[in-house]
Amino acid sequence: MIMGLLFGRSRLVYFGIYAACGLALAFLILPLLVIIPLSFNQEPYFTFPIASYSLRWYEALAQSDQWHLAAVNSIIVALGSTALSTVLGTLAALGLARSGFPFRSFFQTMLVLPMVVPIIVTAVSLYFLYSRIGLTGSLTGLIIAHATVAVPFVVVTVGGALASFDFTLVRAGNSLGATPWRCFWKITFPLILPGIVSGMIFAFITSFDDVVIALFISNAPQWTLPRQMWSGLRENVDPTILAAAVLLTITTISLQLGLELIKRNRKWAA
Amino acid sequence: MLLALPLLLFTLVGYLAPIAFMLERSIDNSIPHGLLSRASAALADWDGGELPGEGAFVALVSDLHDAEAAGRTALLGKHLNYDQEGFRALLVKTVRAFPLDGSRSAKTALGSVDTRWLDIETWQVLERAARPYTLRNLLTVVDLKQLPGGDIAALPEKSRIHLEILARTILVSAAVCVLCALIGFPVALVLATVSDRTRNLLLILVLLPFWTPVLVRTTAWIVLLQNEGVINRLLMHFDLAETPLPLIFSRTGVLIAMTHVLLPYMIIPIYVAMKSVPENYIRASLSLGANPLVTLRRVYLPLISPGIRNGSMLVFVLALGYYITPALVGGPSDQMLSYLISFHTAQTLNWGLASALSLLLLVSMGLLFWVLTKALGPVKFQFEAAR
Repeated sequence: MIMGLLFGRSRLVYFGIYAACGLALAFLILPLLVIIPLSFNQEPYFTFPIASYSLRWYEALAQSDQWHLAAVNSIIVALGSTALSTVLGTLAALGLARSGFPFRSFFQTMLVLPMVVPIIVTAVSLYFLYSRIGLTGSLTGLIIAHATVAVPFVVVTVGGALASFDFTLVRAGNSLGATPWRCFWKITFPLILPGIVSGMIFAFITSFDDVVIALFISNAPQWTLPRQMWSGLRENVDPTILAAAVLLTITTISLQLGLELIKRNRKWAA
Repeated sequence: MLLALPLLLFTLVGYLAPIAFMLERSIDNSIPHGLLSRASAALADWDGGELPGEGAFVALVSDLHDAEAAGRTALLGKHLNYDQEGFRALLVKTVRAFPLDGSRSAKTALGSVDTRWLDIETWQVLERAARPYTLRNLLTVVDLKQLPGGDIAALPEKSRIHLEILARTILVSAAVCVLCALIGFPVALVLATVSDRTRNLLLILVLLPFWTPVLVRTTAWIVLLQNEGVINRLLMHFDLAETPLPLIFSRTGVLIAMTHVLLPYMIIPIYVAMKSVPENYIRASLSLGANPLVTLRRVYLPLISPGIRNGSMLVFVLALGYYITPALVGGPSDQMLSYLISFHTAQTLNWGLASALSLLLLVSMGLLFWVLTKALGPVKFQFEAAR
């Protein structure tokens, strides 16, 4: 209503704002609207109208050993770094949630660093270190590097879940004779699970979408999907890349939708 | 409490150590220092006033001898060339003349290979290049260099590119920020106005591209902008352009693609701020006689300014360090600091310079952030939304 109150008197301005918003939204969605149909184009051209549709580029993708390897690498690396960052991040969030943690603000600042330092600086510094200790050109190196960048998101989401967690429940469990281990699995874990799953999804996407770190610390046998796309983009853009882009997009968007569902469920529960 | 220790260690070793290691590398000079260890020791008390004594010449000859035996003359030459062009050629020429005539002094022998060895400037450069630490890279990134005599001077014109690229990085980021604010404002305003149902629908249009991987969005812009791309074909089809417009590998392309990638980071904070403005405030202002324009300027904009500030700062800071989009969509004259960092890391292998450039990027980001928050007010980043 505020818009009506402020701009309602002048039709021109009022509709001008709606028109500007429409154009902006068209600008936002345009790239997606373009690459999805073009990935089904029978011809290898990037033009409209599309004369006939086919799955030819998706078939090319499925038959290519290179893309196959990239997909497998992507999944291994994303799962590995998700597991590593989820375990470390959840443990840390649990530790930080207790009051009286020493150097808490220092620790939190340190954790935020990977989020504010430009990814290129992170990637280059990891590359310098990894090349010295022999972690470049290995999936392990990529897993560790992605976990380093992803772990702050896990700490933030699990920390968020713990902020509304009632620790008296754990004390109740303890006083009734449950071991701390049992308390964790029976009380804390189920209640903060949405936070953990959100963190996992964040971590997975961080790894799955990354190209800059992979650019520096992986060689061709470890190339992930985005890295394989990058090298294709550098040479010439053929529609196979669009097919890969569409698959990548579908994966991340479904994961983000999952995240959104968890967020909403939590709101209802609260 | 102990539960946080593993991550503490992981971050220290896996993140802070590499960053510190990299920053140290920007002043590290251990390769030439190691290869010139004897000369470095012999030159330790040299005052640089006149040519060093015979001892330094002998030390240099044995250092060069060892370097050549280890196949590292080229490496040493590459590093010395950073300090003075032509040094590599001098080394190669000198090493080719080995073994030197033992009956003469090392000084005379080197001097007869090349007279530059009898030039005091050569020794001044060599002495500085043999130290364990160097200021060279830090000076280079601000377009300065140290002359053989020790004075600081501007780099030669053809290498004076770093400050220009820094200025370009800041300029492009600021332009992207302004574009995002101009395009994002009406979207946020409409989102804050319409019914819940419509809003959810419109939010999907904002979130879908936001959730699309940056590389995919950049790919889409390449397809759209290239010479045989969608936009140019359309323009030519409707006779709006006779030849393809240079959209890809141009500043226009970089601005369009970066604005697209960063726009949601602007829309969401402004929208959140707008949602929290109570309608009564606006009604009160209007009923007290302020006209809508005055209300907009004096009541509404001040209330939503934290949102605009958060969004702008987020977009600006993210743009400063952006790599993927300008690297793929920009031409050679549109590249930003991030590109130069990767160029020196992967192409020229001048890691010291790459590190100094990273330091320059971090310091400029920090300074700009500090100055802007001092001038405009505090900023709060919501990191969950800020990914």
